[in-house]
Amino acid sequence: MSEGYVFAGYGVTVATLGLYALRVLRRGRNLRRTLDGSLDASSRSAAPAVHRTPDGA
Amino acid sequence: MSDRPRPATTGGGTALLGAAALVALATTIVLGLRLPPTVEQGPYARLIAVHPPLAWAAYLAFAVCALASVLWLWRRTRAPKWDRLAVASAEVGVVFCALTLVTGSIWGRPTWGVWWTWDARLTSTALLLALFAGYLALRKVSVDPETRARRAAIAALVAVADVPIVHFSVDWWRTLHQGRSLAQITPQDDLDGSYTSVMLLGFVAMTLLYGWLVAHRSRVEALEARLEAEGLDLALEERRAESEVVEAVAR
Repeated sequence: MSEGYVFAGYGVTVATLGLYALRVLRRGRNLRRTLDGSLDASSRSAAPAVHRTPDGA
Repeated sequence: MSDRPRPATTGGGTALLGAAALVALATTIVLGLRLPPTVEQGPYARLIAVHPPLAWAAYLAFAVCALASVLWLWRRTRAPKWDRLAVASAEVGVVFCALTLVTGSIWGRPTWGVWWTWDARLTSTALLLALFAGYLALRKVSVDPETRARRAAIAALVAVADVPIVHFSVDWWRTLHQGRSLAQITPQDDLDGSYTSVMLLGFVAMTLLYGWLVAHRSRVEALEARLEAEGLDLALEERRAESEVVEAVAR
């Protein structure tokens, strides 16, 4: 049992910092994807219609 | 695709910092768990490799938040990057501060016999956590970015005043908490050499980890600001297009 407190202390530290780091990384990745999507959409809508191909490329 | 540069959440320097933090943290954990038991505290003293370094990282985070707030408040240096750094550092600091309280509580239970006591060090640390949690809550209030940044910067300067109170509380008041950990590292110290070196490695690990987390968190703030601006641009474009259609129909 005495070792349990030590492992709990180390465990909670590693788990919390790891989860927080993952959350920050995921948030950054999602924001980047959203930003890429919105910028692509705005550049497509700004382009003249004659330049568009039937498949939207 | 737009040619506008987009802030990334990763970079060469940040990746190197992350790798260094990971290696330092892993080494601290391995060496910390292998420290010999002490006469006074038995195996519980092994928590010294994480608990004081977590507290140090929280101090550092809140000090950087306050410094960035000053740089934002001062007209000559005012720039959005300081506001982004302040909020990123405060959020990371709140995580470190909460972990300081949790690991301290886990250490306190077997050594003091209680999970919590209204000791000056513990109480002032809990207050520090509450103050910076309040700082983060204040930033959620819906106002214009400049007002939000100004209010938050003033709140950070008020909150950071608690850091020296936390640090010197063990000297100023009679506390159940032991004295300052770093003050015990002297030529006549009673701290075993292996404990000192592993604790110092823990300080390095938490400092590196703090730097890596703040770098990423600051970039997330930059991306959010960019997205907000892009959203406004798109909304304006849509409004213009709508008004052109309305005018054409009216004609």
